[in-house]
Amino acid sequence: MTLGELPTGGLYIDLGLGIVVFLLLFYEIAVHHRTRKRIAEFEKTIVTFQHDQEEVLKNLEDKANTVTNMLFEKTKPLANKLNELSKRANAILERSEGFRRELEDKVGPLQAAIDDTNAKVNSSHDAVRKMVQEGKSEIERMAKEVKGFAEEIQLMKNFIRDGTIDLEL
Amino acid sequence: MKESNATILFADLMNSTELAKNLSLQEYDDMLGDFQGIMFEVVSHHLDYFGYKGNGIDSEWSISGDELRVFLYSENIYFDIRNALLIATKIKLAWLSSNFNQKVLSEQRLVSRIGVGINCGKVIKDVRPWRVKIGKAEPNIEGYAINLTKRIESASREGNVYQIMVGASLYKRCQQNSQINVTFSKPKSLVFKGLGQKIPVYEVTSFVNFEILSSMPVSLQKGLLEKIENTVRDAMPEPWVFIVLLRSYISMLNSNNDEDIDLKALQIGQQALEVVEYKPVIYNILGWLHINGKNVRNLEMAFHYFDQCLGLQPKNEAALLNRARILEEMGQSDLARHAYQEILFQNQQHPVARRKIAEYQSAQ
Repeated sequence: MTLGELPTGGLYIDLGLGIVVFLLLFYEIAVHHRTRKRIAEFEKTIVTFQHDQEEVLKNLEDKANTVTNMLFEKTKPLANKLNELSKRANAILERSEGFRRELEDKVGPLQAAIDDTNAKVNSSHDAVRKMVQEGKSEIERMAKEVKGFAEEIQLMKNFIRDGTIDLEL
Repeated sequence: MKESNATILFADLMNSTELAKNLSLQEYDDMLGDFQGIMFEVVSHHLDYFGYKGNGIDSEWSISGDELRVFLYSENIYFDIRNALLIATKIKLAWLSSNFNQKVLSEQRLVSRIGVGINCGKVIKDVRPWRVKIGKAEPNIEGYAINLTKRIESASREGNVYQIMVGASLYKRCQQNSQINVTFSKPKSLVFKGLGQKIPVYEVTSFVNFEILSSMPVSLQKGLLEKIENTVRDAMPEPWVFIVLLRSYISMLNSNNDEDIDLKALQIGQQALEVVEYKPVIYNILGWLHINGKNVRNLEMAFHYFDQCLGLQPKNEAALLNRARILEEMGQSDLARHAYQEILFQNQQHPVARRKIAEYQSAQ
């Protein structure tokens, strides 16, 4: 069918749709072109960025080396001091150990002596306690005896006193 | 056989024949049972208390009917004499406070008394085989001194103070030892059947000994003092009871048992002056009470009583000593010294007088 053959009403719609399609294609091409351009720009930017990044990394590495060197320089005397301190600490530890051993050597017999003394004291304590117990019974017996003597003496005193009175009557 | 110097004591109930006649057989038997029980109690306790071994070793005693016999031969004659006198007084005291006599007292009749005779002399002890065969191993004791003592005891009825009669042998020994604080009456010469000669007999007129009451058996001590006090309230109290009672008051006063005992003692002492014939001991007791009694202390009264005693017995050492002490306490040093010297004139060994004179001499 040709254009002329197209019904008068429909013909215009088809034309309009063809124009739209055409416009859409044109727009797509334009967009595609713009996208390709932008991708190229983006790729260029990425390359630049990569380049910058490499530079930054290099700078960073340099800086880090510099800092490391600087730190090394700066910490070198500290390390010496640390070594010195470590040596001193070791010396102190060694001395402490020596002292501990010396002390152990001395404390050992002392402890034994104390243990011995303690045992002796305990034994003496038991003996003393036993003695005190025995002494207590002895003292009680003696107290009874003394009381008996006192009563006896009192009786004798009474006897002498009364006997004297007898003679004075 | 063994000879010993013994102190012999015989005691029996006075007028027992008369009592046997007047009492029924049962009453007489009850009385004898009471008498024998008391004699056993007193003598056995006394010998044990004063350390006699008994069983014929250092003493022997027996009771038969209304008679008690005691033989003491401990080899210390003065110890034996003192104990014989103590036993004599104690049995009299115990019999006086017996149930029998307390009944008699309550009926206001005359109490039954015990007569005692004591003497010293040699005796022989021998174990008789026939006695061993009948189970009596204790020795038989024989000797003239026993016979004599029995006769001396029979004279006790004529006594009027203690009715404890002693022979010359015992009298002499007591004169040699002032520690036995006993005094005797003048001797009565009596002729005893079968002896054929006059024998001097002495009556105990005072025997001051603090142990009479204190050494009584515990079973008899209960209420004893009250019974004795009741006895002296009797119309005819026996004189010796006053001396025993007053001496026990002095012991009580000395041990502060009763603060008012001196008042009671003084009252009994004054009553005793009327009853007791032998007064020196009562004067001395009254004087002592006036020195030592808290409620009745009066040195002038004490001096007066000792003076009364010396009026009767100028050589009474106890009165001389107490008078010297009173003078000393009154500040009459010269008179006190003179009084102490007076004691030394008759007894140069008197320890208190010697010490006091030495003190006066050193003070000069």
